[in-house]
Amino acid sequence: MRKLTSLLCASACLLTPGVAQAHVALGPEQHHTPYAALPLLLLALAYARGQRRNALWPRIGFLLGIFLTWLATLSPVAAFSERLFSTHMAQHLVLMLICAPLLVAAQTTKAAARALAPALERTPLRRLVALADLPLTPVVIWLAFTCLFVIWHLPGLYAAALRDETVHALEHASFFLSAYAFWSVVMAPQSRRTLGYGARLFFIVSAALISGLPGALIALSSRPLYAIDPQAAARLGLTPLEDQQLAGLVMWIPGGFAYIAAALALLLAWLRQSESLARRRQRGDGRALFAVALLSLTLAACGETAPQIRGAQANPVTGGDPRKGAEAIAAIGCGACHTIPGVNGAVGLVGPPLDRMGRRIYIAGLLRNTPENMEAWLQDPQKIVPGGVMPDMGISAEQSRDISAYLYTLR
Amino acid sequence: MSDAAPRMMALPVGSIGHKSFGWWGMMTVIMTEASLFAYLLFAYFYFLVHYGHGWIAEKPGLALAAPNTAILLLSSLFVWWAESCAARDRRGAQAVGLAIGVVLGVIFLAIQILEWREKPFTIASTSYGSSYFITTGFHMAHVVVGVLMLAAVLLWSLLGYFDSRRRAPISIAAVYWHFVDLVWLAIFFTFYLTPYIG
Repeated sequence: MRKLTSLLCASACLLTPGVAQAHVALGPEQHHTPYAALPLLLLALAYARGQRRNALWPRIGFLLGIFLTWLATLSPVAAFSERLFSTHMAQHLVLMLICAPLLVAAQTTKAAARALAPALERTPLRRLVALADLPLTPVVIWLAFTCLFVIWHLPGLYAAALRDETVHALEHASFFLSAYAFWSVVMAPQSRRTLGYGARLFFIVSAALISGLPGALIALSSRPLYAIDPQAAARLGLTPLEDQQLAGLVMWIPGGFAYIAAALALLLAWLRQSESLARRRQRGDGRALFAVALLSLTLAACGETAPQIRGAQANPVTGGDPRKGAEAIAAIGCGACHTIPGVNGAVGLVGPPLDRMGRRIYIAGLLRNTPENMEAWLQDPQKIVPGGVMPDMGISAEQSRDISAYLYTLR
Repeated sequence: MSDAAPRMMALPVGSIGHKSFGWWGMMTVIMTEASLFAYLLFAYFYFLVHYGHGWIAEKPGLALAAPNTAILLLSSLFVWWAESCAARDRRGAQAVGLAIGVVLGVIFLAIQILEWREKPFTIASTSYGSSYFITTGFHMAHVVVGVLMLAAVLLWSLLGYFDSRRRAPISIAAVYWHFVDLVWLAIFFTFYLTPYIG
């Protein structure tokens, strides 16, 4: 927020005279002097110097914002508009709800501060900027924006602004600056230090509610509250009261639409953000799955735990048929001594159980568990462990291939 | 919220810091109460734009209200100080700040009752009277609730229930108190200042 404050100060130095001087320049003759647009021109120059990115849209936004500011405050249209209450209200709304967000979107303060930074460093203005490092939290900005908007529409203050051009300049400057700060909060890039989307939505909608109240009051009033030039109103075929009601409606309805549009844009951005977050998370899930698959493949290749693959290798090596193997086991009667899953009655407790034989490391406590060793062991156990408990069962080579094929299916 | 989860060895008892459920609950209370006051003030202005300044039975004097506003703002300042002291484990200063907040709140209520007594109108005599007494009365009720909250928090402070990590009740009472002050500023501006601004 410190940064925002100094940026705001820098922009205030530039922009406020532009907005405010418009009214000082507008004398009783209602036409402005040629130099009134000078601050706006200076701001444009500073922006051109400070704007680094070669993006087209910020520039267009900036030009549009500057043009509309000029149109609303300095142009002949503006001079005409201030004689009618309703058009004057529209002018305020253009300044607060269109010019300010456009200039915020164009990153005017950043560009202007960049252009002005070297100059500011050398002048006492630097101290001024440091002094003005107010705690500009979103709450403070919200309060300033809504309070200023409400207060300036009190009939007494409004009349004072119409009587005295300096007060009028102050009114416009405070409208513009508070609006600029307001939209800076709304449109700041998402980061840890700025408000989240939900908070921004609340920020906008609550301000819209409060800003609607004066408009409603003005539109519902049954008598003229403001000093309205009856001739100017009559020229458009309006009575002063009708002009006032129109002004209230302009403030209430189109003004409200600007906030709704901003809120909808925020909602859209919020949805997009959560969508891309969800997509990233999904991609992350996919990556995790891939990693698990890769890991298990690697483990399989190491031969530690991948019985499926081992089984697949075993079959071509043994070349046997697991089903025939199971039949052979039953016929030979291995189950008298071994517990063998999948074979009826094979619950013997003499030899070791043969469950998970596809995963065991050793055969008979001394041979590596390979298909060749398995077949050799089945055919001639007394040769490998003479005097052992495992008797020669007269198993043929083909039978041994089938039996080991079956045993390797046990994992 | 997960990033705020502190790394502790033992499981915490109650909320840590001030962003507790109670804090968010208070935020929603503030929202509803802010709406209430917004519409009470809107009602005042609605009468005013219809009937003009003649509707105001008696331009309210500032002799009592202006110092009273200062008193309430000062109490907010002390409560804020107490809260920041609680965050730095300065128990004594924390209790003193809360106590001063309670005392100033009570003084505000007393002065407000004095002012009510001086009014030549009643809640039933004119629509202005209704608007004035209902709006300021609702605010006084909120001040009473705020004083009770501060008193409870003060009592718990004296009993040593809070430390720099577990101080959510202080923050909750404080944010309510600031809200009550802010509402008073809006009421003061509406009832006491706008008749002079016009």
